[in-house]
Amino acid sequence: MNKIKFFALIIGLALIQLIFMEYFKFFGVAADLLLISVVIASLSFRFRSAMLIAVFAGLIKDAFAAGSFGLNTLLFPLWTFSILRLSQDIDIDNNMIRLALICIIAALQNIICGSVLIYLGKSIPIGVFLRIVFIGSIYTTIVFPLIYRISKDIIYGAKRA
Amino acid sequence: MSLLLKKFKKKILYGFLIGILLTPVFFNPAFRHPFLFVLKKPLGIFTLLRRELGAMIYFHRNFIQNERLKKEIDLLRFKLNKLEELYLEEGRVRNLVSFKNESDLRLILSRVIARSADSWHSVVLIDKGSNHAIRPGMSVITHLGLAGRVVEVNKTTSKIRLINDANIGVSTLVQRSRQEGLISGTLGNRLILKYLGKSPDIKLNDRIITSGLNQTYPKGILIGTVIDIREDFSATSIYAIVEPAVDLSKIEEVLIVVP
Repeated sequence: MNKIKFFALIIGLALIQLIFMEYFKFFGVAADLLLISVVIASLSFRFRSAMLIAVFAGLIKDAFAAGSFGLNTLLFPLWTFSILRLSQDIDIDNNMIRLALICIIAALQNIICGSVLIYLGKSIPIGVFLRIVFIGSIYTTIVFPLIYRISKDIIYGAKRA
Repeated sequence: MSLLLKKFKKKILYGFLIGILLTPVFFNPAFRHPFLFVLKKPLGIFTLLRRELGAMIYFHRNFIQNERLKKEIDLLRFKLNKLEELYLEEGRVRNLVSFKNESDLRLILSRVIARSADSWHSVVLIDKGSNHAIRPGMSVITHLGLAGRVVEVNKTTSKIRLINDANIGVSTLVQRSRQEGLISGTLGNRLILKYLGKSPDIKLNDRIITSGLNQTYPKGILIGTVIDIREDFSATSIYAIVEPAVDLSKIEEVLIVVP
């Protein structure tokens, strides 16, 4: 039941990302709500469910992007795998560690996406590249606690959260 | 009755006398103004007390009424917002339709329904697809100028790459001097006009139009205005920064050019 609710949350976040995030852009950069949902899933569910959610979120993101199809479908499960692997070695229940984690993942995601575009021969000015990488990562990190709180309410119910 | 009259006879008489004495006070402004000035404060206090007392007595009624009015205001606000939105939409569509009627081009009016999910692409999704004769490669405009190009078509939706996307290149002309160049996007609010050569004939505020050299974009469609001219870091060529004629971040309806 919780997983179904989480899938519904991902669809909701995807709709917000596609329709409303244009109005909340900061320096032309929007927060990556789907990446946030993938990180939350990695922190909340077991390996199989988290992977499934990551692939689902990646497919949604790729379906509405105009770039090389499958990049997000590939990257999202990679982040999930990395988080779950990392959680075996270190304790990631601390809020600050979670924030650092999302910031690093968002930055890596942006660097990889931008680098792929540059590798494909697209001319992206260095200023735009850095702006998307830095502001995009910070913006995603700032939005993360809010989405995390909402998703906790959805997954475990408002009382437990 | 007569006993009662006798008892209050003196009081009635005094009252009558005071009434007669006060008569000029009410009819003559010279007396009335100081009288009212003296009474102003006590009257004000009494009015305030009466109002507060009324508020206490009718508290429940007022509370219910207040709640009802609040709901009514919310509903009216919602309706007003809806009407305002309809009004703005009507204005935009009217502009596009009048442009469509006046233009020689065959155009399909469409609505933007979603935007790109990441910051690396400037793409929008429209509500018309192959069922409405839209094909990949068709150019997309608004009444203000060039907006982009159709890159992917499904039955009922199409994906449009806007001109500020880094993957786009449009062959252009400077309207005044016919200087050729190539516009490409920067993922920001500005476009770059490249391949201008060492000493191009280009000035600030020059209007940039499509050259029609590649078949994708019809000739003469406005792209934007030159706002800055800079030299390449290698100092071998000049490039210009162009402000798009269309506000790409607020695009809501577009016209697809059918070749």
